Amino acid sequence: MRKSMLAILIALGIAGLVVPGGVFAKDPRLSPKRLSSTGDSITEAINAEEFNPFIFITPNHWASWANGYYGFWEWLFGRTNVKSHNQRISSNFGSSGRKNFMQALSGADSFDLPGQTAQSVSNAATYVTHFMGHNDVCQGSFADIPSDAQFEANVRAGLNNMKNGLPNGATVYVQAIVDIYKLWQLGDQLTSFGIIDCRVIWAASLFNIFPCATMLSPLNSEADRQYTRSRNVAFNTILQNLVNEFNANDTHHYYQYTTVTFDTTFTADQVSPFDCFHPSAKGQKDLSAYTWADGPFKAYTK
Amino acid sequence: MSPLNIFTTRRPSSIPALLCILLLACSPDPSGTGEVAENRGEPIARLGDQIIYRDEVAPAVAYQVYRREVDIYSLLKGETEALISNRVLAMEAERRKIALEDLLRVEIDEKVEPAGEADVDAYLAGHPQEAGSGKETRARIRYFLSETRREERRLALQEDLRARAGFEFLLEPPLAIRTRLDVADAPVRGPAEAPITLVHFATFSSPLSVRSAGYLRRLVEEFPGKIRWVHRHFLNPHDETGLLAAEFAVAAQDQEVFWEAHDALFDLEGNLDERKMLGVAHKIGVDDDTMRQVGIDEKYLKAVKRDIDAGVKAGVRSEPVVYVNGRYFSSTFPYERLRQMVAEELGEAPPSVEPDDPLAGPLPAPSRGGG
Repeated sequence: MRKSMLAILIALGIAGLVVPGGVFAKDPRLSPKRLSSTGDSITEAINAEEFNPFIFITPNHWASWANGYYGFWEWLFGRTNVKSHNQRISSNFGSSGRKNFMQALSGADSFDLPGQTAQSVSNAATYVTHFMGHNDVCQGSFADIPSDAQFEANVRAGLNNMKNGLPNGATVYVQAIVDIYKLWQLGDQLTSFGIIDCRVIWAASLFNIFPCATMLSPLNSEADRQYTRSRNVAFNTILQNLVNEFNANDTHHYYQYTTVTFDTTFTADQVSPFDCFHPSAKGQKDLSAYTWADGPFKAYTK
Repeated sequence: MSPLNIFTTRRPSSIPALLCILLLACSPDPSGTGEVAENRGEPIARLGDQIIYRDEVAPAVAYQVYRREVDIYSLLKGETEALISNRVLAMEAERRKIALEDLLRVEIDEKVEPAGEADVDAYLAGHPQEAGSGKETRARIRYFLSETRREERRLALQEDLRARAGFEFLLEPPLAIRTRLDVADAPVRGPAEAPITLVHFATFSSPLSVRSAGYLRRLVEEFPGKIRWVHRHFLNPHDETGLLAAEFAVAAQDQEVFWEAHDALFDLEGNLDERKMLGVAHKIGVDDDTMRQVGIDEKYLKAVKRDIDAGVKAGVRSEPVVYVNGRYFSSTFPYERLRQMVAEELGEAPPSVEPDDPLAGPLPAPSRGGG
């Protein structure tokens, strides 16, 4: 019986449908050929490389760390090849049977996660990236930041959707919320050094034209920003605990969490030159590299 | 038209200065003459028996180098402050012979009164727009107020401990620097001998560039006879309208009506289309045959590409940017800051920005003329 199971797994592995090295207590891990990303403006690569000043929020999907792509038009217009997870999957596992679904949406927060993960389920995704929570921390007012209980309930609902609906053997990879405070520090430095007046751009957060007044508003005190950072840290702890819990209890799926996104200190060339906040194309490229290197498929290095 | 080269030597910041000292200390005299090339910076390369000096290369990419120095400085400063914040707390706990957790409890938890209902009422009175955020509003605000009180206390404690321990960050911030800009064949207006040269990297299609063009107009009015205005095209990727307008402006330059086109295009405040450009062309006398070639004849595209390449090399990442005698100015900053920069270049104004601002004060005088 065991021998026949092993033979099946080897056959699937050769066919590129199963990733070798899986834990036998769980279903064999599926190849990540069907990628579905959940998330917000970071995964949509807002203002990463192109910017329309008339609409202020410009999706740059080719530059997404998760779903980005690089083809003829990107080459022609000299856009950045971000080597996204999508591209890495094709390089490592082949393009046959590939699907690339972006469910991330600018402005989405944990309340949108059940809806986005339902889409990932309907995509029959074998690999779901989850980079969400920035808009929970980044609110128009401090009263709008959800409580720990609410945030946990939202994320749990999203993970439950995937637990109940993703194909057995699928992988869910959860990234920690970026350290928003470090982004504020960076923008403050860029302003001080005369590179770009981030403070003026961020003043739009006062009128909800730009997000994240809870960190970026010029009216905030240092204590206010530290409070927001403490919520940032608390939400990451919840994400980590939930990932551990689901990975321990769900024998059909794989869950992994990384703090690399929180630990990264962004530099000037990694943030958008248009809004001093979202990752630039270079930042997206680095995010892809860092998260892949710390992720479930890091053994695949192409 | 001859190229205009604007550059100077700069006082190196501590980090590259230290590297230079180390390199020079470890290396034999690369020129073999024993002569220190004071006016050309340190030697950085050799081609046979020719020595390449820093100042032959660095001014063209000065702003790009500056950005990286800012990154290094900011990383080191941030990391140092985090280290110091933890260290002073540990030192204080050790001085009192108590655990760190006990220090935080005694100095923060026990000294901060949690927010009550009256505090929430007072907050909502000052922020009425937050009152309707939902049923959890009051609880969240109470939590926010209590936590920010704790944060304020923690920050005050750290600040006090840092001051008492004598913390001082010793690295010098990098200095703002001049970039050498080659503006050969670029359209110029204003007196050739004007003491101020403004190089405006901009596109006619963007409201941000419209605003910065307005800045330059004000400067010309406020400093009559002292400004030389150079335009260079810099586009955002995929801005086809901006590209067409830039090519049209190159065509107008060929017919010696560039500035007429420039002003008329900016007067449209970024709302451009082909029909409006044709209207401008008719108004300033660019013939229809020429206009039919705009967007088709590659000579116009090449001219725009040359400007974009020059901007990228100079460190422009998005329009608009103004270089004031080689000093970088992002037009996201207010007009007054640009005016201050011009006044400093003219020696008419003392530095008036914050003392810790590395842009404060005029730069050292150029060590040699450009050519």
